[in-house]
Amino acid sequence: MITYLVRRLGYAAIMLVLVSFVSFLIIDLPPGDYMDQKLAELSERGDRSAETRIEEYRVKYGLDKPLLTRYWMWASKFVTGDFGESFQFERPVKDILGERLQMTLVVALFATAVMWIVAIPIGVYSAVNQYSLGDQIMTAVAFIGMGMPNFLLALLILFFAVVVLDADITGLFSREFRDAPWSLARVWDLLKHLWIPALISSITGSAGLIRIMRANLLDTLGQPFVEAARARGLKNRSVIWKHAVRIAINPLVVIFGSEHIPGIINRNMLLAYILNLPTIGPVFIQALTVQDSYMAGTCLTFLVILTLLGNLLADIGLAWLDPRIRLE
Amino acid sequence: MSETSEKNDILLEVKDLKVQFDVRDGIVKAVDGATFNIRVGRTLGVIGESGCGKSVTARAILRMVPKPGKVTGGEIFYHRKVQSNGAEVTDVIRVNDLNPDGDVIRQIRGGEIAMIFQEPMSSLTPVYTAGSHIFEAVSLHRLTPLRKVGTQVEEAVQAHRQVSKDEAREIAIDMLRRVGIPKPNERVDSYPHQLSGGQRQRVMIAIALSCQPRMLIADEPTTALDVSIEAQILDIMRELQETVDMAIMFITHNLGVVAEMAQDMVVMYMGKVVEKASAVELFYEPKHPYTRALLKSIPHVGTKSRERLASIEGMVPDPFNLPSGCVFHPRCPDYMPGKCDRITPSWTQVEGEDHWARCLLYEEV
Amino acid sequence: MDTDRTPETSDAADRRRSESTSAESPEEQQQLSQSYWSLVWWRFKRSKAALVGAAIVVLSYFIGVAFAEFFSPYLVNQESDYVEARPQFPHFMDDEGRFHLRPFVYGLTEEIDQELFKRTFVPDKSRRYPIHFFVRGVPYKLLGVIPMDIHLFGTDPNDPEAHIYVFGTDGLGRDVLSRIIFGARLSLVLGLAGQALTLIFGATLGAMSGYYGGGVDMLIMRVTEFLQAFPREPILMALAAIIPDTWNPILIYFGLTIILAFVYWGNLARQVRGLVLSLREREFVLAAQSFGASDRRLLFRHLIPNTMSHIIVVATTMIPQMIQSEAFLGFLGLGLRPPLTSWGVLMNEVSNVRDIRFHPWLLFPVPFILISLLGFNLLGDGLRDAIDPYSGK
Repeated sequence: MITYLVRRLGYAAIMLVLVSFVSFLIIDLPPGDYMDQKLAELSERGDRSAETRIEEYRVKYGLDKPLLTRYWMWASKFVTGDFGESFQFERPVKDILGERLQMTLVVALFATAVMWIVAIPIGVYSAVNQYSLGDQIMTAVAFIGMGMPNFLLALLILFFAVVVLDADITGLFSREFRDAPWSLARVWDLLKHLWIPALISSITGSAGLIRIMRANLLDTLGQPFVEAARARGLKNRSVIWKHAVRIAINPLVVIFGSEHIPGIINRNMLLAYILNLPTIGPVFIQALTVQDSYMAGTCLTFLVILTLLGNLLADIGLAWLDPRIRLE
Repeated sequence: MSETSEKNDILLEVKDLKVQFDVRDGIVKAVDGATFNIRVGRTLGVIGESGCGKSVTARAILRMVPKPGKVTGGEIFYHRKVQSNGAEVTDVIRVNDLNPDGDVIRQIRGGEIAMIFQEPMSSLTPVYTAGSHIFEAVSLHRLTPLRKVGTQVEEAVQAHRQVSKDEAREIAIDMLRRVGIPKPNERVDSYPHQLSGGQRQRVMIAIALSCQPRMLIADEPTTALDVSIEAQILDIMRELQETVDMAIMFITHNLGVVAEMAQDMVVMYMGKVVEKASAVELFYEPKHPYTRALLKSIPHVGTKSRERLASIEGMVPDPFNLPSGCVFHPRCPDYMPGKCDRITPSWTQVEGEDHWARCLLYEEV
Repeated sequence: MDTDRTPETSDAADRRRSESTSAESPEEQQQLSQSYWSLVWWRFKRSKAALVGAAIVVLSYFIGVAFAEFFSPYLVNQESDYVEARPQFPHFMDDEGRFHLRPFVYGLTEEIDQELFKRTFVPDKSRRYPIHFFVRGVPYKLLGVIPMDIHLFGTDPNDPEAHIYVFGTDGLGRDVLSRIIFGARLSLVLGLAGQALTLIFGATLGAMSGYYGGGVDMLIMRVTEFLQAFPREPILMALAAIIPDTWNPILIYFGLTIILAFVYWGNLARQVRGLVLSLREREFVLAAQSFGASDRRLLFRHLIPNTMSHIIVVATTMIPQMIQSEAFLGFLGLGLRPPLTSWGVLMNEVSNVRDIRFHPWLLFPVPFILISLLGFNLLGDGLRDAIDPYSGK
């Protein structure tokens, strides 16, 4: 077991280095760099010393040095916890991400919880009552939900909220609570805003889960051990949950690890951008579009870390749940 | 009650059972007239080709016919032994009336009528150990409260409690030993995939027996096993039957196996029971042409190498397009034109002891 | 032979058997002797959802790609003075309760919003412009070749003042409906082209990987694994950002197609590899080899065509993903840019989310995009069930 873990971690570390380097490379590929934009900005504002200022910035951030050097500088500091400085905000990346980490986790956790709590019972119901009216409706809804990209859905809902209801649904807090200390009222305010991104995020997410749960459970229900359990006198509920779902749900654990864990950053990026949530997503997107190298590179690296971690957890979780896999 | 009369007591009565399946292409009459009895302590062999309805019949007994099937006719009576006023009486339950998820049928399932299945490879839940299967069954059925008949409170109600984990483990190890699994105290913690096919089937038998049922339904229990393992399993079943006086309904398509095991026999074709007799009479005096053809088709030692194997001509008909009259007539060597294709034979008693058949050869028309 | 039989000729016995046992319905008998693809079509037809999907897709390509000019009342970049005008929905009944057989729209008149100091155009109930069908309008070349000027609908060609902006106009006075239709052209073709490129690249590499095995396989698989480790959206964004603004629009289009293919080929390659691995051991491969078929011939003439059906299914489900990717890239200002008009470019016009309340009709592309995605997904699902009814559900 230990050797397995060590091997996985070693492999992950190599991947991480490769991926972060290639990411850096790609982010750097567009002609010019962030400073060109800043130059244009400053010049527009009539800043006469713009050119020299830009040169200072360039030296400060090492933009005059070759890619490999820059990457090495950044990477070596990364492992000590210093992720460089963001060009846009002129603050350490670590601080910016740190500020947004809490809300990122809150939104992700909330949305994921909603997704699972909604999807599993519906998927089970659908499979057990196959072809019933409820199943057909659910299958259709799930199908449509799966095909809908998050951000388009967000735009639609934004439309209804803004135009039809005349509400402001951006952000996670109303103005009064934005920088206020934590209180019950603030939590309530948070919840009032949180339900919209959670709803949008969970529609597409749970659609996929519902379909997979339904398909897996249908397969499992056809297996002999389910009938055997029923023949021993178990209640229908026990047969379904304790035996069938217990087996059918295992592949979904893999999904949780491989998609929902990296999804903490990845899943709701565009959504957060549209709704202007104080999470990591919007700054990540912004950084990618304007070539804020260290910020973008850091976020990407963390995303990959989460992906590798998620896969590892998924595999471990699966082995824990399913004794047949343990021996491999 | 004397031993002999108890031995001949009826445990289960199936009367003209009909089960049909509503599928997209039409209605399939999976069981269309099944009549037989199962007696205490005796084994009934149910013989027939694949698709003849024997498995559906077994499931109907436990109210487990899968959707889209439903029982559309006939009756099943289970003669249950209960305590009343200190004595043991028989409560005859009409199984058709029972709610498939209700308390009564669930007490019966596993606790009084147990069932083992054809595919031992996948009849155990992969994530639970052999021991936990037994524990689950035992906590459901051992020491479940007996029904209170009447309102006399003075009668002693048997104290009952759930079996504790340690007790259950002991029971499990004991059961595994009785079915012949070596090192039962280790094997009790094994997962199904760590056991061989034969061992899994033994575990299934152990689970079934741990609840001390009065009857065991065995649906092709050895079909998926090697011949040598099969012999061992059959031995165990026979031995256990003698020790606990358990009735067995043994479903198979293998005539050789059933000859070893059964005292009474029933032959099914296309959902109908076409012949019923004691095993001895069936093998020596088969009356129905189908039974005769089946018996003839068994290859036996001494057949000259150039002789062709005898087989039943024709094919099993399409369930949506059944032949008129007697359902076997297109393949019947004793076909009587004008009669067999127009008149449906009814269940008739033929000469011999409690020997019945469904054939116009024995019916006055 | 049983000697008890009542005498019966063997012919009569056979006839008896065949009459008594079921005859296959003529439909089924015909089915058994048809080719693989007609079987697939027959199964496909049975699913209403799949047919709906196919209809949506076919219609989208017909209207958006082939005959966009005919179906749109205006040209894609035709500016007008009616800037950010509200939608002019067709009416049959006017304010006075009179019913008109020919639908009409109300004219637009300028209005200054006092609060926001913005110029807007609102419906003017006093002016009515009847809608004409198959009407002469702006001239164009059908399919790029045939000069025509008939449009499906429009206003009276003799009235220079008449205008019909069913979904309103954008910041430059351009008709949103027309832009949606023309946008479909670029987006749908991009999806197709991107998918074609992905297919060529991915299927070939995947097949080679599966067929040759060994070092080739290892290499290709490591590469795809590496590529799959990158999160898709950020990588698309980063790659799209590489395309310089200064490039010729056609080049930008090609660049985007290549980027999409680059990101998506890995998945397809893996699937094809799996298929080829299972096909490789089959008899027809051995037979061809024994005839001296070269590796390349085997790959292209035998293995790939046999994986075709599965590839088609995968391809059909990837096209909507590519359209989606283009839409979100455009939303962020990456990928295709004006003067090109695609759905992504249209999405960019609503990227400033705060302003949606001032011109919500610019969101009209969204339901169209969603419907076309749905169509592709239904089609893909239907194809999958028709080709391999035992997969999935």
